[in-house]
Amino acid sequence: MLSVCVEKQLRDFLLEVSLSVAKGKTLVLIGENGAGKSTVLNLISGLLTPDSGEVILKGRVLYSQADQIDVAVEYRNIGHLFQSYALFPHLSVFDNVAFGLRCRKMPKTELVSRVRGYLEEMNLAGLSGERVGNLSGGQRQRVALARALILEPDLLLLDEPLAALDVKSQATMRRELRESISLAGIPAIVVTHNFEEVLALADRVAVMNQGRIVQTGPPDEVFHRPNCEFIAHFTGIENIFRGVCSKDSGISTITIGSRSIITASNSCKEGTEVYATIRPEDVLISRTPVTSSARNSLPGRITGIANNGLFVKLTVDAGMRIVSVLTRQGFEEMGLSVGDQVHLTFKAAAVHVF
Amino acid sequence: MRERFGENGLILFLAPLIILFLLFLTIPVASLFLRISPAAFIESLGNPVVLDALLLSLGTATLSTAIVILMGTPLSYLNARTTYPGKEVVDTLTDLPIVMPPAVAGIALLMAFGRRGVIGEYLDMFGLQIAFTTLAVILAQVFVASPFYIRQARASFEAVDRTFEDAARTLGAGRLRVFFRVTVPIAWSGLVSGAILTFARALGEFGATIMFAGNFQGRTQTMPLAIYTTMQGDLNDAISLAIILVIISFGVILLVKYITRRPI
Repeated sequence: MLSVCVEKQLRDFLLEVSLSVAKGKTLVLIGENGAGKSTVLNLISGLLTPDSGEVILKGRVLYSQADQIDVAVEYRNIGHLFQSYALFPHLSVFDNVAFGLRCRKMPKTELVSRVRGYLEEMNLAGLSGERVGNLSGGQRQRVALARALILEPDLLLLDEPLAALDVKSQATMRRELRESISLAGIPAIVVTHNFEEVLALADRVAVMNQGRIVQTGPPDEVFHRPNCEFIAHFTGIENIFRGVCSKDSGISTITIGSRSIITASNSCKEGTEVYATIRPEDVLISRTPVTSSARNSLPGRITGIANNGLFVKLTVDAGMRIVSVLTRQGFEEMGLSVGDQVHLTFKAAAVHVF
Repeated sequence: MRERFGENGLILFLAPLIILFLLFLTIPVASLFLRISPAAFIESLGNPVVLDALLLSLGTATLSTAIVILMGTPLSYLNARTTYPGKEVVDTLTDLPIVMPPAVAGIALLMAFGRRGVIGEYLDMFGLQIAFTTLAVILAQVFVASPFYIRQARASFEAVDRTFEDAARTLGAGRLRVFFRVTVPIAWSGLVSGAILTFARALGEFGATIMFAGNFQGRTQTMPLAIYTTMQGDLNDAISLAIILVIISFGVILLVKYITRRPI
């Protein structure tokens, strides 16, 4: 169990973060570049010192301004992986993984067998004598992970663990990463700005902006109910509209240009300007208007089709630009093409207002 | 222009200039070797003046390089990794000996450590004399040669990505261990080439040495001083010493090139 509550004045803003991660759980920190995500990791591992606050890991106080405690980095027993992996270029794979054990003065024979066993487990045995400069991105990540996990740390911090990899190995490494984390059975914090990484790794998500956590919760909650424009932008919700709210016998309508949509959200105040978001996967496409319980139905014309593997992304001009995502199968069955007249249907509950 | 000349044309056009310049550089060096017979060279090596100078030079240059590494490394690291008020001034001070004429360095050292110098005065009261001793030779070499190491070391330390040091600390290494097991090995080629250049500069030191340490055979007469002295007597001895210095210098530069080119 990790519990953190720290404050630090940075050049551009005051970083003020409190969070806790339970044993075996993964917290994913997301946010724009410069939001202070990596700084939070550095404050926890001790590479930076907070101005005030507390860091407690497994019941052990690592930092406490009140009690004047500041455990040195090397005694915190925290695995910290850097975006660049920071593998020592002058050492072999074996010596990189053995580095921490050597710091702990492990007897040589024990050290050699431990490292060998570990390299085998991580599928790195064949690279033992290799200089790290000769490794691929995925191999580097594995070595960095092995180097940290062999020390049986009490906490794992990962700073953009997959950013340096190509898309293809990202998927593989994401899976491996998840396995390693769950196998280690320790709290983990992952910093990322990749949407898929969040869904794959996170038990909880914390969204950071300007040094503060602005929203936290399980991934689906954060992504389906973003509470500020920043998160909506960040999570790739492509349908964001600016409109004016009006209320009629409890039903909120948002007028966007010449069109209006109905929302079930109650954060709409009469006459105010608001943002409305609709997730592309919540927008239904049909050839003819459908009668259903869904409150919103708009006619439009397809202006763009983008293939996305299993999914197809349609851009529809319905007085405003609305993006819809449907499965490739559904797309092919309907035989849609650019210029077609279609109807968009979505529920009032799918229209989020903030 | 490029159309008319091409790359080969350019080389042809500039070749006479290049050849002329290379000849200017190599003919004097070659002349050293041409002006003395191998037998005379070997005979000179038996001359105690030559032998004393050779041993003294190698000994003092080695010691002064060791001192520069010992004293200069912490300073270089500090300047590479931290900022403090007056850092630029400190940096300029350590660079100063490079642009200072050796004669100026010599007289400055004399004013400091000479018998009636600012510090030497007090040392003299305890019966300690520095000027005109072997120690003076070493001090002069340290003074003039230290910038070569310090500049190179600072640049090499700066080039070491801090993340390596951070990573080492999270793995359980204390600051000293991080320095010796991570920073120094990564900066190694730069540190070595800086040390070699310092050694070479110390070996060639003349002006400051002759003013501050004097010219006593076996005590302060290093190779450059011995060349200067023997030239007035037996030219063969001077040439032999010069040849030895040229060979060492050539070897040193070659070594630096080899070390700095090799990837870590």
